[in-house]
Amino acid sequence: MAENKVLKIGNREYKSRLLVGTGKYETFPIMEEALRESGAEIVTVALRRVDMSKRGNENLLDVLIRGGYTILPNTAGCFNRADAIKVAHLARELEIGDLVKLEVLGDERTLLPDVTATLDATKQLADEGFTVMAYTNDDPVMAVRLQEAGAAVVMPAGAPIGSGRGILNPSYIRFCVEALTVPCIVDAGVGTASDVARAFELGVDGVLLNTAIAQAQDAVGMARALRLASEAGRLAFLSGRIPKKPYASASSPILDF
Amino acid sequence: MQVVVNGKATEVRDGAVVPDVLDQLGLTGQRLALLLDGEVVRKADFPQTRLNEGAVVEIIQMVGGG
Repeated sequence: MAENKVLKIGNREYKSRLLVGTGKYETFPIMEEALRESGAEIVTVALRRVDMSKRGNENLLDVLIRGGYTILPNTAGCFNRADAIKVAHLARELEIGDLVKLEVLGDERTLLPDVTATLDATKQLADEGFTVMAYTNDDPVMAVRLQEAGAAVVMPAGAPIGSGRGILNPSYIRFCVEALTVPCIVDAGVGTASDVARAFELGVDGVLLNTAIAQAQDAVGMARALRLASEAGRLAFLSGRIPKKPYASASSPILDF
Repeated sequence: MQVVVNGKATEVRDGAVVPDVLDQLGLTGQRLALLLDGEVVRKADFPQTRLNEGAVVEIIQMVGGG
């Protein structure tokens, strides 16, 4: 079996290759249990205005600190470089580390990335000392450009965010995996266990997902399924699958009587 | 004096600094980030950052997201 190198992001190592988002859950208790079942060590958060009407209730940070998670703030909802950089700077002031999941979106309907703005923002934030995890498309050339610009992790989308369509372009995800020396973590579009397994079978270093768990009918059950799928897919990849052949190849010797 | 906090007109004392506003809103001790007139205020600068009349403040926290 090929060596299962540990997932290293920034100066930390992680056993879990599933990264999970904290958005869209029905309740905090469901989110807390789902995160636990997923085995995730890294969870993403967004940055938004304090809702003055909800003060006094338990807040997200309390839940995540209790769970001992590495918190990965994102720049979700930013449609230009300046806004994404501003959100990254705000995240830095929250003193939760120097990780940032950089999203600079280019289109409201597809939520696909504006890759040139992402590239510029990656360079600036990496130069400022952030550990940049860059959300991008599945173009392996752009993946390498982001790595060269200083991205610590490159995160190609499997399908549009929240679409649940899985890995739409497995060949290109495979090209990204082969081209990168930093971790390649699929972000966005995963819908169910087979999508997670498929991604890992392509050789990715991790999968980040949110909607697939949060909006499943049983979020906790789905979290468990996706954890198992991540382990199965990764193990299958490391074990070296058989090649696909056009014709049959008998499993039993030729009949000799 | 009147300032705008998270989109709402808010009365704060003249010469208020950031910690005064956070205290007034019951937010002292919480992990927050702040924009003042569109610019990020470093946490280390909160104690000496004074608000002017009409200042636009955004108090930012972590929320669920993917």
